[in-house]
Amino acid sequence: MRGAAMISTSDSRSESSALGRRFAAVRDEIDAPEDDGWLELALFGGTTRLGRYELGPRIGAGGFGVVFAGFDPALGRSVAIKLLRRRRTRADVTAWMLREARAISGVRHPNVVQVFDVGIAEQGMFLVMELVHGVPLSTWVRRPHALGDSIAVLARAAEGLIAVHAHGLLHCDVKPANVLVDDVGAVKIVDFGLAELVAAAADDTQEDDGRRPQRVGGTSRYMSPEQRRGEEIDGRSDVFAFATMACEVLAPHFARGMPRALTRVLERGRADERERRWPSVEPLLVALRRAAIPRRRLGPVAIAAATSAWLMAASTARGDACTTAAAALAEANTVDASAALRAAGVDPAIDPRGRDWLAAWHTTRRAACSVEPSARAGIDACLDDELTLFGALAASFVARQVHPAEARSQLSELEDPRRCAMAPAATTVAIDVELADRIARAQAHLFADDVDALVEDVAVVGADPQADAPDVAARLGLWRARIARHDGRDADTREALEAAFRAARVARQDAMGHRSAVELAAWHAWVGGDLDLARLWLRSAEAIAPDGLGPIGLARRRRVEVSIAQRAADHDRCVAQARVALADLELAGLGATPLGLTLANDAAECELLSGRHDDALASADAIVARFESESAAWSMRGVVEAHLLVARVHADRDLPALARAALDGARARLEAGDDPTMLPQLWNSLGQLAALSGDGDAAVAAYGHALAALPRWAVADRGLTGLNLAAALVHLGRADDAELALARAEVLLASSLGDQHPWTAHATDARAGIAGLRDDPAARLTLLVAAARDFERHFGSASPHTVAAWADVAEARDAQAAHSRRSRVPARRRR
Amino acid sequence: MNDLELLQAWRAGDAIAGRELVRHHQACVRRMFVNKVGDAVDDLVQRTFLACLAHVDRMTDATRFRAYLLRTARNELYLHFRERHGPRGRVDAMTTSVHELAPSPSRERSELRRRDLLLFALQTLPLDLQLALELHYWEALRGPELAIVLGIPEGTVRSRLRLAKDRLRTTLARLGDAEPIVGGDFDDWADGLRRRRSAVS
Repeated sequence: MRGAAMISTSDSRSESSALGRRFAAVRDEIDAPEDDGWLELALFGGTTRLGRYELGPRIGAGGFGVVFAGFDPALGRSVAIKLLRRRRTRADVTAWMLREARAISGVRHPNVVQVFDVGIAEQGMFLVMELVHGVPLSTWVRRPHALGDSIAVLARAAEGLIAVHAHGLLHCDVKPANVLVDDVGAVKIVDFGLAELVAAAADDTQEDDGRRPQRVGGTSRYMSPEQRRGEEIDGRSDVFAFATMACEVLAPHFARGMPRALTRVLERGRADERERRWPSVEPLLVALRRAAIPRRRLGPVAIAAATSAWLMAASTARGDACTTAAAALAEANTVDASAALRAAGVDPAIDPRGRDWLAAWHTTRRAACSVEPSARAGIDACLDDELTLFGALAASFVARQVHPAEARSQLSELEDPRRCAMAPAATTVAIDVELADRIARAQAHLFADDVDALVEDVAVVGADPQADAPDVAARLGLWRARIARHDGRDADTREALEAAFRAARVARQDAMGHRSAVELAAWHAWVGGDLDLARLWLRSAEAIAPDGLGPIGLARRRRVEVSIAQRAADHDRCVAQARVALADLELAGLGATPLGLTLANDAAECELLSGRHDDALASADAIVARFESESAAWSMRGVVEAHLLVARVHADRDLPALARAALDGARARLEAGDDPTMLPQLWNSLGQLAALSGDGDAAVAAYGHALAALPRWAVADRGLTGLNLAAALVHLGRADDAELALARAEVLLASSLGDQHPWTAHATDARAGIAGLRDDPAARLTLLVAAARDFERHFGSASPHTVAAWADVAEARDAQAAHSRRSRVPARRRR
Repeated sequence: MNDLELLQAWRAGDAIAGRELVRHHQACVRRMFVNKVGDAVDDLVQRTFLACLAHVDRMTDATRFRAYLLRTARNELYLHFRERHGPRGRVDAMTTSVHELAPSPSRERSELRRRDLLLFALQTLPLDLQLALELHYWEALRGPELAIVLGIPEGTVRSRLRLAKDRLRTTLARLGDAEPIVGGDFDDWADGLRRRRSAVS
């Protein structure tokens, strides 16, 4: 009875639950339309037939439709069946598609996937093709390959393309995802002509005589300019796409930039005007083969070779403590390291940082020989771990062809091996060799910021029974935090970092404790918005900083100080701290590293925010001059950022022509590097420029693009972009839209930047604009005054923002006076 | 047959069982993706069911099938984000975009906007908090099931939900949401719902 009474009470309560009702209402709203049969096909394809073919499991999907494994009972062979998404299609277009598909099936070449048959079924049009077991080139390039292999794969793809062209057909969609490579290096190009078929299936509204639908337009970065514009195309469009793909495949082989000859060949393939391109694929292929002569690589390779020699010696010594190791490595370390390296076939011109580290490691190893055997176990384990990590790093440099500056930066994160002699108890937990190796690789992935690889590492290491050991747990925490940060799971990031910190304290692993504390400080500064907590964590990081903390570790901590100053809108402090941190990095020879570049951009940004335009310009120019010729992704991003900063300075100064020039510089770099992560910033800057030159529609569109390109977790950036959008909408007179955009931006900004940041001034300013549009001059004036005060508080009275804001206030006072005069007049008349 | 038996039968080749299972659970899996991933919904729904099929051996408790299914959906969701946003991946257009701001007829505006606001407010939450609320209210998941889906200890489900509601309430208030939300009654409401469900099943 009691239960029944409770239920009825709850029922009446549920009626009153506002949130519950709202969720229920929205649930109907977001319920998606019923599946139109695709799910059925994709999951249960095995029981269905398409024409005479039996459908097996789905093996792929994309913008075009679904691919199934299939079986042709008539010929008893396995096939792949590609089903194009069903659309309402006019009969004449369908006829054209069928003719086109039959032409495609006429091409036979070892590097082209054979199309056996085409047909129309109830679900749509389908193509029956040869079943290929391979991975797309886009996946293949992620694994390390010799340059010769990459050239060979490109050459085979080119030969396939030549065969397609010889049949009078075009591919129209050449890209790495459409080139399959199998285990033995066989190459097949797929989906040629399909882009046009899909476009025809999707668009049957145009007037056409049934011969050829409108050309495919689009935005793929592989598309030639004429194809993007939807103009008539020829084989040179495929040349353009192929050259773009070749750039991507070959670029990873040249960390210091491509040889000039190769660049020239590829640039000619990618010329904007097709008359200047290679006339067809053949001459491009010949030139490509000639230009891509392998270059000798030094630094990282030498380190890796040296390391493997060390590791081999160390592993043979495992049974017999350190004396054997000392003997095995005697020459390398007591006589002449360079001679030993040469003897091992290695160029001695290796990075001095790596050599110094190895020397320190060996000194410690030798010293350990005089320690009591019982006390030596901890030292040995620690030294083994450190050397394994060194080896993993060196191996990853080689595998990824890491830029030398980046390699230097990562090497300097290694702990000083001499610490093993000082605090051996910290690492006495013995873990087996395989796990230690995996841990070392994961740590190298963390240094290289390779999140995909880390996800796999965490799965393996986390499942190991030894994962509970404190030093393993500490590392796991740091890796999990990195992944969670990447996924945008803020709470998990913090939890993982705190767990890492606790475990590191237990294990007395100060370097890891330091790093966790620094990252926690950064978390509180950027995500939690609690600057006091951020400072506390920084202080605790300082307190436990290990003696051998390298310059990069120190600079990382200082970068958080810079961020805190930036967050607190203390721009002078921000500039000063960034400069100090940068100077120390330069002293250590690490100025030209990702962190150094970030700090340089931080300093320039804070100079801009504090209104020191000339300083900001000088800093940005220095960044561009120093890094312009580098080709690594991080240096490219840094240079683009500097260009964008210059554009913002000029925009702030009302000099649109100069801003436009800086943006063109940024765009040129972006196009050269094809790096999508900077796109939102570029769009944002284009929006600002459009707003400046009075083109509100263009500004709104640009900010829309920026918002669409920003990932979900870039909360502050989404908020700031939204703020720009709101301002642009105000200028267009769209009060309602502006208000909605502003409200959204405020939510994002309040939760990311807090309310002690100058965004509040800009938001108040936009709100004033909305009040103006709503014909409420009194509210507008009040808000403008508040905004001007806010600007003054953040930027000082002389900054352009503040001056402009007070000018608006003066203008609004006049307007309000006029308004009240107008509204008083009819009142008197009524009396 | 219960859900787990249907899944096992499907795995053994019984497509009729598979169809029944998919028909029964399709909608809630879809809802999990709809306001998060744009045009990849179909693909993710397929991937979720296929992943479930592949891991049928790991499921032991038939009464928890829906939780396992939604947990798989969550994994696929994160996998999708990683693929899209990975260092080598492309930037995805899943965030608010300008087309949502297109003017709409004024008579619909306020109602549309209220719905829009709740969905938007949900999207501003960290993904796991968003999932917690949606699963709680839309799928009426109970504590132990939520714990399975979100991969957290059962004891922290309540505090996770409370945190999510607080954040949602704050966000809605900041968005200028007109309807006052009375504090305190959500949990009672949710409790009532839970009891009713367990009384039925």
